[in-house]
Amino acid sequence: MINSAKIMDMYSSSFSDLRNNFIGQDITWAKKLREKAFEQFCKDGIPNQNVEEWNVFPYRDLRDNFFSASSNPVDQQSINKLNSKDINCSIRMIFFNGKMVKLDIDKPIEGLQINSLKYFMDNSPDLLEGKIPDASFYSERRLSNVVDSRPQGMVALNAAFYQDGVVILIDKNTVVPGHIEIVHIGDAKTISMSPVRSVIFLSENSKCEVIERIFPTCKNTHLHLSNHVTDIQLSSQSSLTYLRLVDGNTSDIHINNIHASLKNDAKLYCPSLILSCGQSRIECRVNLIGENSQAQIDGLTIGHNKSTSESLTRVMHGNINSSSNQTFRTILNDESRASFLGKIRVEAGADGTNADMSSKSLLLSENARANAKPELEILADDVKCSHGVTVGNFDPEQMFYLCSRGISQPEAKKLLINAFSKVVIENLPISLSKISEEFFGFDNFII
Amino acid sequence: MEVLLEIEDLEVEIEERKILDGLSLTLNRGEIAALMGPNGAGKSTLASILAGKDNYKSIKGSIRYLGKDLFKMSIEERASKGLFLAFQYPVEIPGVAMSTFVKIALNAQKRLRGEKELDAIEFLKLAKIKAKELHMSEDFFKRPVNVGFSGGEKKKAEVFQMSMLDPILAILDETDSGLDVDALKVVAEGIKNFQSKDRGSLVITHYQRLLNHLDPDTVHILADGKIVKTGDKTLASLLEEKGYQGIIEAA
Ligand SMILES: Nc1ncnc2c1ncn2[C@@H]1O[C@H](COP(=O)(O)OP(=O)(O)O)[C@@H](O)[C@H]1O
Ligand SMILES: [Mg+2]
Repeated sequence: MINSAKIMDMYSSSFSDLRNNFIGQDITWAKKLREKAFEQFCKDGIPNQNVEEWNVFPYRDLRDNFFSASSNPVDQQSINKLNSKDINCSIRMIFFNGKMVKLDIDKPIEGLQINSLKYFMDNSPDLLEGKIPDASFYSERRLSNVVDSRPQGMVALNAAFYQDGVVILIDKNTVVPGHIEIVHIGDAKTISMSPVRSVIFLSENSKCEVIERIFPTCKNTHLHLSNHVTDIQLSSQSSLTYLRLVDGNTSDIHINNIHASLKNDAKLYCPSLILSCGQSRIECRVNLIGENSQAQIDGLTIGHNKSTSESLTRVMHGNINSSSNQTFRTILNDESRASFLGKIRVEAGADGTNADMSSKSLLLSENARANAKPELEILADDVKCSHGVTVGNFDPEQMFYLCSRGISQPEAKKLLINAFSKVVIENLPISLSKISEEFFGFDNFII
Repeated sequence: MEVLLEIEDLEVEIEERKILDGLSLTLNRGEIAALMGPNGAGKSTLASILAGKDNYKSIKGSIRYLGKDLFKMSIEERASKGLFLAFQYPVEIPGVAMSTFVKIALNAQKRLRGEKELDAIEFLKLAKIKAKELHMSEDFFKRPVNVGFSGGEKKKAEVFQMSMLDPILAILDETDSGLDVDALKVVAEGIKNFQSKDRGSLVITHYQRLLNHLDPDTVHILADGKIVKTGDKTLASLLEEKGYQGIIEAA
């Protein structure tokens, strides 16, 4: 084990080495943001268990290793191995070790600009100005009004080291046909990270569906950290569906941060489907700053082996008549662990708020564990808020009933697992639900 | 007459208490037997043991079904060999549609018996006929199993499952409770349609009104953990008159 001071030194020297080669270093605002982010990372470091939001799992691999952002050569073979994109997919971007290697567009779509972050930084950085917030913007505001930047150490690390990402900019009144798919693959020839920084901006009355799919890195490789930050801004009356499919093997650590802000009548639907063998942590922070804005944040996780999966949500209701719904379902095998940290905050004056949060876990093995911590901070008067949390095994009465009709135990379990996940799958539009079911392979789900 | 079910000296203990204590009962093919007894006598316990519930602390005695040792069969094997239990309290299964559930069950049984499975169209055709016989609307196919069903709907749904799965031995645990007069008639019809010279029914009930429809061959009274009296259908009328206490004291 290397001590943490030594690891911070390694990040520092890596930052100095890469400084001149980072993207956007010739752009004053971008350079400033990066320098500031690095300063903050040096101050806060990788979050430890003293930080409230990080106190469930130890994340030792994350803290005890230096993850190098300098990239390995592209493996063309593993890119060729990907299936061709499906018919509903109008645009596909492929990232290898965090850098875009392929952009596949059927035909240009009017009102849509899409490319890698590197491309935009090199060609039209002015389009990005103001769309990448300062790292401190994400700091946690405690009930005591103390502002705590430590929980966002991973965002600071990303903001200091990012080398590429996805940029999607959509003009007024544009409806993007089909869906956009972003695929991440990689190998980890050394202990490495892919700091991916993405920006999704929807102008007034536009609409778009995005699937971001993270494949596991090749087996038996080194630890790999995919540290993604996605900033989403939804202008009034715009609507975004943002589906994440995360699949990892035992050496993969996924830390994904999603930050969204919604103006009047904007809608965000953000489901994450996670098949975890390693470590995954999805954080989703949503600011409902517009009237009548709506967010639906869902999660369906299947944990295997000794995996740990953590979901953190922070939904802030900052205006009247906004609504949010969070539906999380977790199915845990083997010795897997899961944790849900959900918070709803309703600011003073945000009357007419409607907020629901539900997290349920199904333990398929006696060695699996789940933990859930729902929090409500309500500072307004006229608010409808509910939350429900359960952790349990198969219900023996249900099992007996099913088997008494001739259904075998494994088949009965499969039926109950499907029923358990249904609420999340059912929310998906049909074209995406097929993709998700294939992703999980429910038909040959093994218990 | 071929014996369908033969229970000998059954003893069941739950939480240090003997619920069944030397219960013996025989049911033949072609027979409708009524099982009556006070609340808490152990009727449902007996029914669930027959269906295969095995979380009881200790079970002694023997049960033979179709000549085979029932305790050696798994729950699903019993079902596939034609044993059906209509639950006193049917279990709610949110997220599973009634039609999905019955189709999976029916095909699972067929698979275990080595028969050809039904495809979606064949299944739906059959289900529509059976639902109609029971005066049930088809929209209940799509509803999650027993969720939000009224008491009567739950009981009808059990009879629907019975008629779909087409068992050999039907154990009906208070399928008549909570039914209005019309629903009772429909349920009684369902049971009568099922009954044949090859099949047997064990009808657990408190009331004579279902038995008036069914015309049982035998009536057993369960009390103190055993069958205290067996008779023909006049025993049920006697019971109505004298109550359980009167019968048990006389026995
Ligand atoms: N799972 C159980 N745990 C503890 N006691 C039980 C359980 N099931 C049944 N009993 C008890 O066993 C007795 C018989 O119950 P039951 O078979 O439901 O009677 P009946 O159906 O004749 O009304 C009752 O005293 C009941 O409280
Ligand atoms: Mg009972």
